[in-house]
Amino acid sequence: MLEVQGIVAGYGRIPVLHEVSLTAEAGQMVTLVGANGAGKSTLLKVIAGVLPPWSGRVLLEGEDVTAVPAHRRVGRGIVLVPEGRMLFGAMSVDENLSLGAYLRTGAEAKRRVQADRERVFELFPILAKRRSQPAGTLSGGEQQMLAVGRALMSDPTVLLLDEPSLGLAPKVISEIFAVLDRLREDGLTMVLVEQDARLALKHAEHGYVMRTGTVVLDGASSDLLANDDVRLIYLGAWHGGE
Amino acid sequence: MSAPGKRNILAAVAIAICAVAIVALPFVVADRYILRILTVVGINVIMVAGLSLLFGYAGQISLGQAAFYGLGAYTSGYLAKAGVPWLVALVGGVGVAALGGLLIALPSLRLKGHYLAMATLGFGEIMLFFFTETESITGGSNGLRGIPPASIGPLEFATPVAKYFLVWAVVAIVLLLAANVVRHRPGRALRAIHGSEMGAQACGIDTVRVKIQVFVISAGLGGLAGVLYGHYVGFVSPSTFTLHYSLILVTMVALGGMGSLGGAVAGTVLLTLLPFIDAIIPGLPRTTVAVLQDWTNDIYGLVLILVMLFMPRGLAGWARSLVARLAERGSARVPGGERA
Repeated sequence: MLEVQGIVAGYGRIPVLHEVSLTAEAGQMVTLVGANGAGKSTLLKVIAGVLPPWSGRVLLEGEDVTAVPAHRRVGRGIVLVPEGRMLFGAMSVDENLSLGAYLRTGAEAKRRVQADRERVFELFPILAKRRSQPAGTLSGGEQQMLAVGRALMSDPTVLLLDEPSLGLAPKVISEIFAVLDRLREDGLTMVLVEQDARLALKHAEHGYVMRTGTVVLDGASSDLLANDDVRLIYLGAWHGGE
Repeated sequence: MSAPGKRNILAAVAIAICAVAIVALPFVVADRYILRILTVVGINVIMVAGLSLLFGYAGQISLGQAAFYGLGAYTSGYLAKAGVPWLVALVGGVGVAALGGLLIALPSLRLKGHYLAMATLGFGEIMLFFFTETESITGGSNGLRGIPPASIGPLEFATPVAKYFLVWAVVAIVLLLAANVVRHRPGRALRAIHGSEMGAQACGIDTVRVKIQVFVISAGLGGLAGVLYGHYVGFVSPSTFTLHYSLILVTMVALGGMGSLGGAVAGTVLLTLLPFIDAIIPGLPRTTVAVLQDWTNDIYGLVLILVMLFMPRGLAGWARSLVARLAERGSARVPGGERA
């Protein structure tokens, strides 16, 4: 279980998040939706440890990990699929996956890493076909699949996804979200940041609606989808309507 | 056969041929001048091996490698003149250079690209000033004279042949270790940092620590090359440790190819031999030689520009695509081959 309590954070001296809290139960997919600049990605960065919060706590299974640096959180099971994928373009698909398993060393771990690699190829068969190709030569959709695959190689307990649908064709998006559904069925906890709120709420169990650095509404995804205020966001009324 | 498989076999053959040639050379070539040139090549290879890890693999530029070269040369020269055994002087030289690397890495590791280039460039200039001004230790602009040749116990490396073998033995050890680094997990981490620091962090790589480590290693290797240089020539002066030399090293890595140790070695050999081309190819017309030697620095600069524009992956990238093409043609001819 992942708990975020009263996070205040920002860049430089400019605050972005004002006392944001959220909870993701084990095996649950929660999503953060809201307009551009609402602070969704910033919150994800705080959870991943890339951005230290000014105050507040991040708890994993009840343990405070707020002071744990980003690279060590990966070992604890908090793994980020960064916005823009951040793949290693000159390296092959296989090498990118190996880097996902960077922290998993030793003979026993090696066997499980191999099993995980096969599982990634089973989830995304196209990656198996492209395994010796440089990641930079993949299509956008394939790159996003590789970014998810690389994160899975870290053996995550909480997967943080930052805009996985960005710039992708609808067919590829539904392919990727079908895999996310399968991962959730297998018990993986996920925090999903998405611009496409309808898509996100259709797949997640619980949603948090963010606006200018605070959570203005949260609830079961089905309730949020039926909520009139939330419908307004889809229409973009909050961008310039007020 | 797959391209990577063929590449590995080709690489192994090339390494074996080079090793045999290097060992056999002193017995075949009577000209001691050529041995001296090749000793300098070996020293440059050690320098470049370090820079290749830092710049070619991890993508962190350094325009101050000459400073570490100087730190190694002066430290071990000074210690050896004071009567310290060569091996101890060597450890001292490498240690001081590595420490220098640590001191510059700690404050500048948050810098990237141009800023890191400027910081290392500044460090190089400061060290050059330091070498010139601390006359009581370094001999100032007159240099440090009378550095004894390298020796291990009673074994003294005083003749050109002995010096040649000493340097190339060290080259072999350094390249073996460096190849071991780049082929395995640490090498992947270096390339990951080059590819995307954010991505590397998301994989659990402690990017700050890895960057410090590779900086210190490359500085230490620079120091090692400096130690060998000082005891080889017997004299060191500030004019050797200039920005000019640092820039040539960067050119060698770029020509060889980012992310390729073998390419960096090839680039080093080619560019080091250029000014000595008349000794390597005896039949060359005098005017050609004169032009090449007069314009050596311009050629280096031109090489750097041309590589950046037309061969961004350097000699190694060019060789790789050549092998891949050959492998493709080979397998296309075999019915049922994997690409047929």
